[in-house]
Amino acid sequence: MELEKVKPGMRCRIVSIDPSGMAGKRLLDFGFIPGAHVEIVRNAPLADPIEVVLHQTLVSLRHEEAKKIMVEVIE
Amino acid sequence: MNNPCSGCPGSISCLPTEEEPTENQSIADSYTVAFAGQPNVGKSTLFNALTGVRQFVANYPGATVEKRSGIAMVSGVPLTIVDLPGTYSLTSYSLEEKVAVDFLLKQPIDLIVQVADASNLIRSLYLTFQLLELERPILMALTMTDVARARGMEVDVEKLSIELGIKIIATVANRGKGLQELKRTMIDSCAKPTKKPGFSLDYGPILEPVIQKTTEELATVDISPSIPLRWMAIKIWEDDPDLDRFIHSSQQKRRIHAQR
Amino acid sequence: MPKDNLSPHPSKIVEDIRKNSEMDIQDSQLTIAQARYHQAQLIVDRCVREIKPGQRTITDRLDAVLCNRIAGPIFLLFTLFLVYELAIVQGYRLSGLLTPLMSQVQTGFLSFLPAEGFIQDPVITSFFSWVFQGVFSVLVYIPIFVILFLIIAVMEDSGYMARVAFILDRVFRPFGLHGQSALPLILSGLYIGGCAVPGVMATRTIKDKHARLATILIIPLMNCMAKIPFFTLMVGLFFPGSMGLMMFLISTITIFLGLSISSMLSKTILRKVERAPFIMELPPYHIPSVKNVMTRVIERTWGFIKKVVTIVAVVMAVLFFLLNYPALGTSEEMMIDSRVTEALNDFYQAAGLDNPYLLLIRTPDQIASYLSYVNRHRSSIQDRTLDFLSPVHQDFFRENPSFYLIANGGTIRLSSQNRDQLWISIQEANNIYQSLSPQDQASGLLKTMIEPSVFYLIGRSLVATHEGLMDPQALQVSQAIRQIQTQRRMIRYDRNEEILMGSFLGSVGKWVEPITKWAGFDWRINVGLISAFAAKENVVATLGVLYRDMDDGIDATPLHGAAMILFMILYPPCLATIVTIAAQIGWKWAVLATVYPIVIGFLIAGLVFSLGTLLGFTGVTMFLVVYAGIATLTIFAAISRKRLPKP
Repeated sequence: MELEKVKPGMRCRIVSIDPSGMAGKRLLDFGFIPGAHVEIVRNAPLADPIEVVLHQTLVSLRHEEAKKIMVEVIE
Repeated sequence: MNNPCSGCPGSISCLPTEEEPTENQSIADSYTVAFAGQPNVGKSTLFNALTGVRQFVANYPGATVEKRSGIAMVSGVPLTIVDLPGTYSLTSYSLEEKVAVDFLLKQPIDLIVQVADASNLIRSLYLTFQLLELERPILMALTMTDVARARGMEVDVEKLSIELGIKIIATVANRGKGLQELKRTMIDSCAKPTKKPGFSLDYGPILEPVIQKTTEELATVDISPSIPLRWMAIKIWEDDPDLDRFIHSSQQKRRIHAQR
Repeated sequence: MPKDNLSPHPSKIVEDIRKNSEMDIQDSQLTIAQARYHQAQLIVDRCVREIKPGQRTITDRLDAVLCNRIAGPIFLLFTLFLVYELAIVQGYRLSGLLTPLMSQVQTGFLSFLPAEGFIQDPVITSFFSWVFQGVFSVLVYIPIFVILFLIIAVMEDSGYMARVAFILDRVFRPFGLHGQSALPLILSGLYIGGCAVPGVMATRTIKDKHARLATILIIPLMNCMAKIPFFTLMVGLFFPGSMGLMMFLISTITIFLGLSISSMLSKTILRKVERAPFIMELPPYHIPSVKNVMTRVIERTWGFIKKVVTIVAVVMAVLFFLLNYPALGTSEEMMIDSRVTEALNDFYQAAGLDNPYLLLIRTPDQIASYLSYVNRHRSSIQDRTLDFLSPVHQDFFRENPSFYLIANGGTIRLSSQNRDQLWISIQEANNIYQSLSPQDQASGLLKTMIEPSVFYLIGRSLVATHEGLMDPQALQVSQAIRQIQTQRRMIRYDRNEEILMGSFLGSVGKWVEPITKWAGFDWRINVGLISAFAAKENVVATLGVLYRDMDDGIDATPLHGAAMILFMILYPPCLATIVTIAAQIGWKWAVLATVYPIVIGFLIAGLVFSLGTLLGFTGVTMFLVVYAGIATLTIFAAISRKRLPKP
């Protein structure tokens, strides 16, 4: 499923990612690569953007950017 | 060995005079060191700690990115430190990255110091590999070791140094720890530049041959001599949008043939 | 560059390499990133030991509150309010403390220049005084900046700034802005009065170029503090019955204006400017380093001072030229001269033609010199607790005894005891003088024998009053002076008016009048507005112009008022802002930022005035029409964000 659909508190593993465009490149720079573990922390008070933990870093990204990442939920 | 400048807090007007023979190596009048690193790793704090008030801010030519440089006096030798803008990577997708890469490749630099966050090493290493590919003298200043410890992480600096093949100094900038050692190591590295570090990242059995071939093809293109071909090849495959600036518009030596 | 096959264009080389390989570029990107992270993970696994896993950090705990659905926005609003309160309100207060100091510096400097004349001032004096005015009005911002830079640096360093962008992004993005645009807009006066200069400087934190440009471009639309007195006056004048409503509308229209115009700019002029992706690290919170913060604050403040001051000085100089030249012709000057002669004659009559004081205060220059004397000592003259014996008064007296007497209404203020003593001393001194030989009398020997204050009082016809000693002839001159002062003011004003009319800028004002009259602006308002640009103090001068118009019997209706208010809302604030914008993003953008609000402002004002007159609507109605229109535009902009360029 898409990363943006995962609920806060869930952990997941990245299955695939669309690296196109500047957003894609940035995602790769941050380490959103297949196999990486991502934990969803929260949505912003106005629902967008979302905040996740990746490689021990807190990263925020917009829903439209999160759409590029496909994940599978772990727990 | 009798260095009259030891113990002196440093002054911008004080430069080594001819009468001071220093050891058996020739130390130049001054060296240039570039501070690179990702945003939020404490690079500016370290930079400030080393250069104090002897800083200048200007703009990179044609850009609105700030160029921050300062002077640190180490054993009487002035070290010009340039604090490059924080970048997550070295591909020219943003102005900061472009400016940083241009500086690292086109300016005469004696040493690159990557400031890395000990509590977040994985991401910093992503940049480290790219800096290593620039094939310039480089060492790492590992900051926020106290934060790492507070988070329950302990970094084995020696082991890391061996793995990467570069010198690593642990610092806690706002407490002044490791600063002296860093300064000494910087000046030593400048004065005695080692051969480029041996670490080279293997990009896998599918991509490596492609990179090899591209490197060979690039040998026929008129590229500025200071640019490592392998680095350029890797950037081509990273889809870097602005590699043209490294290629001279003059004639190439041989045609590039189609492979298909 | 030869275009034969042997030397293809540089970009073709890279393109060729990519095309001529079987490798898919997206695959290679992914592979590279994966290889690096994979290797990084391996190294970290080998070199980093976890002693206590799964720590919940302070950052997490803080974020649980600060990014919370409910507490987060509340805390954010509080922070924004605090920034505004500290930087603008307190900063302004500090600036107020600075102003007297700077006036003193200015006066000190001006004292080296030739003195003011009666009607005309030496060019050097008026030039420098004008340029100083402009520069000082900019320097007055320094306390505001220092506070602002301090707060921003703390917010950045501590890590909270990222959270601000995180929370607000959703609100601003549809309009082409960024979460971090909030602070600059509020500082510039989004919902109350603000100051555009620190607002523009605050945009430095916005890394996204598109959003940064959009933010800076709409800052001129915000409620500049200096406009507020203008608004209150206009509303009081034209809409006395609906003051509350009008002020509310004026304050809130800026929000809609800003958002809708930003949206339009995003889709048109800024279309080509790429928008950076939002993907952003939320750094762990940490206590800001004092050194970092102070370094940045000092750096930025100093940078501002250098850049802005020089440019403002230059522009003020140019404006001086444009406002004062071509100078008055000889016939005009002669008319002024005859008015002056007339005023002088009135003065002599009022003072009494045989009044001995007239020997010292007869020519225009002497009168001017007297007036400047009074100006310098104004505060001590008005201070009723001081009397003749106080050191300050003694100084003034000795500087020019006759001027002193005139300035104090002919009176030397003393307690009755001191008065009597002084009276006796004067009598005694008189006797001594009479007793001297004619040579000694002429030689000034007396001066060495008695006290100076007594010496200067001999020979005057003094009278004892309940206040002290009084010289009736000085009193008479003092009253006559008041009269000529008023006349002087009027002649000066008229002369300046004529100069303005004949100046380059005045000609421009008249030249655009046929167009601007659709908005109800005559040439005087035009010139006033143009020079209001240079220093916000001139907004008040514009008011003065308007008052005169009304005295002349030109009726100004609430429709005029509405048009003027709307125009003023859109009018770019001041020179310092334009210069700051230029320093941030270049002169081309600065010019755009200046011109487009004027154009839009003019269109709206013109619409309001002409349409309103045609349809017979009132000022309030037209204002509401405009308000509703802009609000609707904003809502459209929010909905149609599909057309925004994507990153």
